Amino acid sequence: MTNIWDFLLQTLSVSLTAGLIWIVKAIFEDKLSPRWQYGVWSILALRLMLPVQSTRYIFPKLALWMETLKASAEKTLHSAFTEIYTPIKPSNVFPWLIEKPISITDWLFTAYFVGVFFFLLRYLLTYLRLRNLLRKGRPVSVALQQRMEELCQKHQLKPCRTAVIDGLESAFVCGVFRPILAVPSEELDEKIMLHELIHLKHSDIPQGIFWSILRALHWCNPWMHFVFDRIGNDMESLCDQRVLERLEGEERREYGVILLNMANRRYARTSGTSSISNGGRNIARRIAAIVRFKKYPQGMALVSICIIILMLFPAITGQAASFGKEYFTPDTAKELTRSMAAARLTRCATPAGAIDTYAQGLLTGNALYIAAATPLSSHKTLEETMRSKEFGTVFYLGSAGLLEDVSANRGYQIIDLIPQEDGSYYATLVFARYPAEETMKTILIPIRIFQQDGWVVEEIGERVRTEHAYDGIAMNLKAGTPRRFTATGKYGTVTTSLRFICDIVNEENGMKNYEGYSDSFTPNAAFGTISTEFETYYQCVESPKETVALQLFPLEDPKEKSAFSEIDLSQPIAGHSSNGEHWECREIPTDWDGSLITSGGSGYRSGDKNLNNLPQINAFSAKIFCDGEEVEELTLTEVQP
Amino acid sequence: MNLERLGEAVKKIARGYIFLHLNINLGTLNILPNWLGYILIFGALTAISEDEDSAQLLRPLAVLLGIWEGLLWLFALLGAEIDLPIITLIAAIIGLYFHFQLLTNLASIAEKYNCPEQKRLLTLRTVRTLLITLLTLPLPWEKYQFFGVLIVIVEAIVAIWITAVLYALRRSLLENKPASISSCDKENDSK
Repeated sequence: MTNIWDFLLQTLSVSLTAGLIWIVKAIFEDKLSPRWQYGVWSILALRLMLPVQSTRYIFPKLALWMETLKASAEKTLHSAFTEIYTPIKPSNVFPWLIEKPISITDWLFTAYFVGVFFFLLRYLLTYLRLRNLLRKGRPVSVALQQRMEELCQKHQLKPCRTAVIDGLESAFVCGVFRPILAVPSEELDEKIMLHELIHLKHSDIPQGIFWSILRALHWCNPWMHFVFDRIGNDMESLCDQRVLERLEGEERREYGVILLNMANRRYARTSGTSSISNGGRNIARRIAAIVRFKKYPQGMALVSICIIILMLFPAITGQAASFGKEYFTPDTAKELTRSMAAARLTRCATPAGAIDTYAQGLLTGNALYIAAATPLSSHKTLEETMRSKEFGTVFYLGSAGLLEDVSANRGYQIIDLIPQEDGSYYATLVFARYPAEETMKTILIPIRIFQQDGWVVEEIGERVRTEHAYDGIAMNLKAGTPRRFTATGKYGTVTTSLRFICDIVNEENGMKNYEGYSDSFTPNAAFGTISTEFETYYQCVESPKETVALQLFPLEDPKEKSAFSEIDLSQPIAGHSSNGEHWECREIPTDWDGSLITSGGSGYRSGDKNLNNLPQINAFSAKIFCDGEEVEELTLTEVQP
Repeated sequence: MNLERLGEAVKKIARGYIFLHLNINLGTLNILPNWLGYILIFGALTAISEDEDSAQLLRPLAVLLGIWEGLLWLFALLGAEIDLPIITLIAAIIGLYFHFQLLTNLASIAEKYNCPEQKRLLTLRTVRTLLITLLTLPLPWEKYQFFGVLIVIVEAIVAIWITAVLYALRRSLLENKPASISSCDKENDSK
């Protein structure tokens, strides 16, 4: 954690988790045993050790509130520790100072950091003082030592060093690696010894140190102090349970009496120690648990575990931060702060989601959609532009910087999707533009889609206004920048253009972007149909007599052996198959110019969020036939733009 | 313990499970509301707790679940939804425990009166608990539709089976032989 906002989000998330556990524990206090009552805190331990994720929270609105508060507070401060346009995202649970503090929020974090250090130091010093006190203790008598050994043998426990400390209020064990049992006198009841030895057996002292460290990390959160106190008490109740399981009949009642007699004693919690006495109020709760000892319903092990599993998921993985359209259409400048916070938190989880969000931003003039689908580094400029508007709705950028003449209700198309080696994609967005004649004309915008704080889009070239018709542009390989593959042989030159066309689906699996355009906000949208369009142009240098034919097969690797289908290409025929193979045979006309054009396409339903099953086409194999005889086979390789 | 009273209590619980597992909707109105199921089960708990002390602990849970189901039913009737994930989770946890303990208590009663339904009740209890836990977890069932549908089918079979076993338990209790009853009465007296 490097700033106060990291800490606040972390401690509030942890507090909510503790609250959830508290409520469930209260419901099952008299139904599930002390083992479960203490064991369920393991969920909190996990939550305390894991930093809050940047996209999933136990209560997503908390993250939005914190992000909005941070933006409002930091607007006028020039903090060294905090960036307004970087979402709150603690990288770990320990605080660290990265720079010298400048603003008040920097100083608050510094004070928190010092407090952690102070608490840890205090625990250490208290522990060292106790160890020092123990050194002054006197060894126990042989009789007491023998009693301890008999007790250990009876209950299969490991004995430990013991010392008598005069004036001690109650017995306790101190130390992890070389533990000492400190006792107030030789007349120590064996049940008290048993209690302390069971603490040792179950490593309660290291657990106590663990909880103390976590308490120090949340020292300024009073609710967490309360929770940690309760954890300590539950640990004692569990120890009581374990003691009672080893005692019989009247011994159990006597144990309860011992605890009652300790109810008035002072109790000072010390890290690195365990003590049977933990304060009057807590003793009362432990007595109540002892009374219930045999009354807990039996055979509840399976459901106890299932309950912990059910609580673990929301506590640790949380829910995805997802804010609807209403968060992206603020009415006032004040609401704009919250909307920008939502845009920082709701990053696009898929390439399709990024494309759709960006395209919708262009279509509707909504700069907040643009913010959700572009790198965080662009947010400052976007927000300044929105705030500089003197009239109109704050989020609406209108035609300024967007598309002056777009026809929004025709949606958009995605063509020329090309995956890159670094995992990014290039594509071209196509929008319909006015003038509204019989056939809409188009605007083509080349984009790059890549991962940076989620999937984002950036424009990588000029916006080109063309005369190509909007409907049918996907099949028009003269428009846009399709991939081109070419080879020249003895019999001529073959050039193939290849284009991938995608659409994006909505929740009902209908097409979202083009026909039936839907303006819902779906940052995790999936691709629907992936179509492939081919167009091959063959320029012959030696004209055959009767027929010319071409057969092409797509290859993943130029060195790969092609698996052409057996087709009779001596007679006029044209066709294509679903794997991208296409062929055509034509009769030579009298005025033939030596060219042959063949085209085709195929498509499949993807439903794939990350384009993992995009056809891998990196070359073509082409066979040329003259008068029904194969005369040449070429490998077409890609022409780099 | 009056076996007839116990048998009536088990019958009430069986009817309660019918309401819980079966929904017949007329538009937005569910004419077999779950909250009625919990009212029936709540009414049976007093009788059950005469043989199984721990069943008393289920009374407040039955009230909570009845209120929660009542709210869900009301919201559904008005065409609205309750979107409170944490409360929904707590209700699911309470429901999970409630049915687990209830079926465990009923299995104990079956064992006590030498009824053959004891093992079946314990098995159904375990299977139901595991299924409900799986279905409540935020797993991507829409991606693995086959498994999701399979689990729902198994859950439906388990639900029907539980009701059938409870009716069978009731019959067994009512047909229980006098020798068995007197040995159980002696056990109760010594307690």
